[in-house]
Amino acid sequence: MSNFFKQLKNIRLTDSERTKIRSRLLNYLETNPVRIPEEPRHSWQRSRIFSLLLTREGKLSMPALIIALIIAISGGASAAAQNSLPGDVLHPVKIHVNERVRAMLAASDEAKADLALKLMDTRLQETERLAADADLSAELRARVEERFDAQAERLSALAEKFEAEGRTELSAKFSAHLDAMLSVHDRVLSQLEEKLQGVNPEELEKIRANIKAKIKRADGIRVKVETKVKTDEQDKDHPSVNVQAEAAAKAKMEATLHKIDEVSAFITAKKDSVTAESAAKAEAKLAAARGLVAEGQMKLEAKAYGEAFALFLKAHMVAQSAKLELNLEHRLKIDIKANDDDDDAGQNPANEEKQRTDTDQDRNDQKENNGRNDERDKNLLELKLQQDSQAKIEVR
Amino acid sequence: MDQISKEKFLEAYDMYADAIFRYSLIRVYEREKARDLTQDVFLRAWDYIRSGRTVENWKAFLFRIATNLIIDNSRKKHETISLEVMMETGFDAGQDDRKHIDNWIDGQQAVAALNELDEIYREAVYLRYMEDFSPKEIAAITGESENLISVRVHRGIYMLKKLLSKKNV
Repeated sequence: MSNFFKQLKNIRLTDSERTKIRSRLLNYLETNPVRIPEEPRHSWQRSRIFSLLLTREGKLSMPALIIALIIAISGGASAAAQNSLPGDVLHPVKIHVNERVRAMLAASDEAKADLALKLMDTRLQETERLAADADLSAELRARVEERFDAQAERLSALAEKFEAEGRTELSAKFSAHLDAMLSVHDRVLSQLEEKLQGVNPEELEKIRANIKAKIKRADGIRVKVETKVKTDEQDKDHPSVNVQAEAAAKAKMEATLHKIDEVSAFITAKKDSVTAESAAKAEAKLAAARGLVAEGQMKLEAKAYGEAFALFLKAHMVAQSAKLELNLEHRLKIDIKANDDDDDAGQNPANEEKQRTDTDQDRNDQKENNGRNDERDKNLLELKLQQDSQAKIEVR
Repeated sequence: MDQISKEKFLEAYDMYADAIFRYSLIRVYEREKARDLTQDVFLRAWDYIRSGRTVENWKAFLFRIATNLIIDNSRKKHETISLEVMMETGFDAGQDDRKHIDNWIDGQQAVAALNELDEIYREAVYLRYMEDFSPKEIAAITGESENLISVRVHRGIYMLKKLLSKKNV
């Protein structure tokens, strides 16, 4: 019987047949490479033209940069690159050409700070899109984070400069924007983490830790600015200082009203492309921001410039986060749930009032579960205590 | 990813092309058809891989594709090969460039003997003894239950023994 099967083994393809089929198969492999078909992102395998411009490490060489610049000026590739993600062929174009050109065009410090803020937002959006596609490797995460940190440095340097120049208002504006932007991304990431369940959890955690650190810093700046305005207000003997505080609060009010108009227009424009629910949520936030502004105006009339300033700042943040959330929901197609961060809107002014009357003990009890705000208010508290013990406050 | 898949695929081809060819041959009787079938099996295998999936057991995977293709083929053409036609045209195992012509003839005789078995027994016996698949693997390849396969293997080998001893006598 075994002999029988041995005989069968003699049936084979002839050598010529085998090589013929093999060469046909090879041909087929070449024309049909392994690739999950997923178009619009330009990846290495697909885009032969643009990979010519890049060295093996994916960096742009000098002549390539010139060519890329020409392309960028003429529009096409640069526009295509705008939508690219880290790891894509066109992403270096986005980073090295598009964003550099924008940096060159941003002449004033204010425009520069604005750009830094926008680029940080872009980096986070890229991360989120990568995470949503389950493409977020440790390497890419590190690269994106490096760029994110660079912009964060730039922004904080600019904020310090504003302060040194006495433009508290600007410094406050950017720290508020930064805070709002980071909080929204933190929420988006936590939701992505839930949604993706176990895909790259460490990478997402690392990003969130970084964001949290940055929020703390932004809060630091904000607290500093708020305290400064408040202290200014307390030096009532110096009329000039008082005038300054008033001017700062009024400027902030203007800026906030402007922002609210802008966000309102934005919501109207986006209404058709998002769910009714998210639109309603954004409207609600905007209404909360308007309420805060009204409160601030009352304080302003009562000549409590410091408090008015803080309220305007908060209104600004709320309006800004309404806009960002709507934008991100639209892009990532996820539903951003509200969480306790939202009490920025309603609860805080009340807390601020309490802070004046309650003992410290009571206050801490009340807000045990109030995470980040607690932290921020603690800072405020610290400063207040200092204020009490020393006749004059030192601005940290 | 691409390169590794390619290498693995070609390795699988070099290892199993003959086995798949043989298997096709005992099922479709014609060398030319068996050759085309072998090629189709590997083309299908590659399509499966390039859609991003991985293969654990290449041999079983390829035999499964082959089995499905053979079934598809027979359904499409509704061909029945009568014994008479086979006797007229002769069983064509094609030209072979091997030097030992004796082996070739033995092989042909073995195929002829196998051909006398019913399709279901032939398949089971062949996969069990020629390709060393376990009944479980054969069950996966043919889509039958493991029990049924074991029964077919035993009956098939019993019938084959009977056939061969009758011939030798």
